[in-house]
Amino acid sequence: MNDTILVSDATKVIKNRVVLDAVSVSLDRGGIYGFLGVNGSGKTMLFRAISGLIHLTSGFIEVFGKRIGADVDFAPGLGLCLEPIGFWDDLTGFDNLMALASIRHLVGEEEVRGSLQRVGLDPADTRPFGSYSLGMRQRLNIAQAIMEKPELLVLDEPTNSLDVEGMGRVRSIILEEREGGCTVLVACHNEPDLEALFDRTFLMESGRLREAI
Amino acid sequence: MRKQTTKNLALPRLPIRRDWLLRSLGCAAVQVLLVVFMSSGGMTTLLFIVAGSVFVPQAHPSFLSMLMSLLPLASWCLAMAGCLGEVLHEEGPLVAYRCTSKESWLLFRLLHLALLSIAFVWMGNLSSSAVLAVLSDAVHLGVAFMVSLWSSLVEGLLVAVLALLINLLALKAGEVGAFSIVFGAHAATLAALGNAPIELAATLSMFLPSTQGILAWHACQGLSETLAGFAGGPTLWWSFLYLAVVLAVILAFSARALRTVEIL
Repeated sequence: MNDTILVSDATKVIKNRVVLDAVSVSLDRGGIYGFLGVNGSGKTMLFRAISGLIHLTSGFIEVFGKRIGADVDFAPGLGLCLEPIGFWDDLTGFDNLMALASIRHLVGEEEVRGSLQRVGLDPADTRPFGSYSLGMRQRLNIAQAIMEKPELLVLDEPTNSLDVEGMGRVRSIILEEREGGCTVLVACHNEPDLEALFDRTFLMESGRLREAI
Repeated sequence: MRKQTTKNLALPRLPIRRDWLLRSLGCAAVQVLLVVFMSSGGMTTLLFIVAGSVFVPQAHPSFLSMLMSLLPLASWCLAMAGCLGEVLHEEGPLVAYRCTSKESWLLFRLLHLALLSIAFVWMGNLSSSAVLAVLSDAVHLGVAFMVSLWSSLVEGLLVAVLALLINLLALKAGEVGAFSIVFGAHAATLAALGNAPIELAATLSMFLPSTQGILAWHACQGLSETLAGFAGGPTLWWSFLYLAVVLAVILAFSARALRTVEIL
């Protein structure tokens, strides 16, 4: 079994703008990898490409031996936390996660409750998602990403809108997931507490990737 | 991660989007309001309204009447033009990767849209009939319901075809652009046939998707006059089957087209 995420010469052009410029990197399973860069530098686009949400203009990406777009549509064993957060406004947090869990049938009510508790949300909360604060929305977004015990967890700015307690939970979750063998990719801006967790840190600038030393 | 079961090969069962439902209810309410304003027209009003997608230029109604009869459908088509784009953008990062393929999720949402199209037509037509029966002595509730029911069989599919075409095209041309192209073509087809020689119009209307509603309209007009076993019955079933096949072809085509869609 292949244990790496291999990004090879990944290039993406959208409306004549190069958003990923020949990005190449190899990431071993079980690490925590940080991607830093200003808004629009290409972090989110790289995450979308690794996940399988977009197609590359050239180059290829393999996740644990499966080539995205050829062998599989989406990265295998993926848990994904991206914006925008498109939950169903009229459902509670628990019901939202149950609706998502019903797609793959990998987890049941117990695991969904557990993931809500891990992010600091009350599974018995009867308020609909539409009435959630930004911080609660972000917590729910993280909960859906981790609820199915992913092999690859992709977190795009996971501490956005979170308070200090929420940020602490995110750090704990990242470490716990790694302990369980999960590979974690994190994009963030200037967050020393989070950056301290990274096994390797990469800088993105104008679609180009380089490793921070 | 646990091994995926084979169940995820099926279309995912996701909640219906409440905003889609609210938009449809709003447009159905527009139709009922129109009925209230035009209630003095009695059965003619009902036939105009339930055949909203099917104005009848051959009968030379006033421009305003034609415009009003198209208004509920036009407003609904425009309000729903961006549904597919919305789910791609909003639901995509949550739902797409949980499905084995993009097309299974998007096809499921297109099916939702098709069912909502049919529901919109039924809601609008049945509530319009009820309101008209209350407001106009010339309209009997039973007859009005029968006309609405039969007409809605064909109209529901016709509206679903329009909605799917608009939504698919909107991914490339934008919502307003796609609405203008598809609804414009629909209205232009009706107008052109309305001004064509009657024999030519009658022949062509059998084979164009947009004109299937005209056949239904005439069938329902016959129904309103005879109340039973109307002569247009077989024509209505032809239109129903024809549009069902067109809808199936669009869904099959969508499955191929949506494979390459990106979730940006």
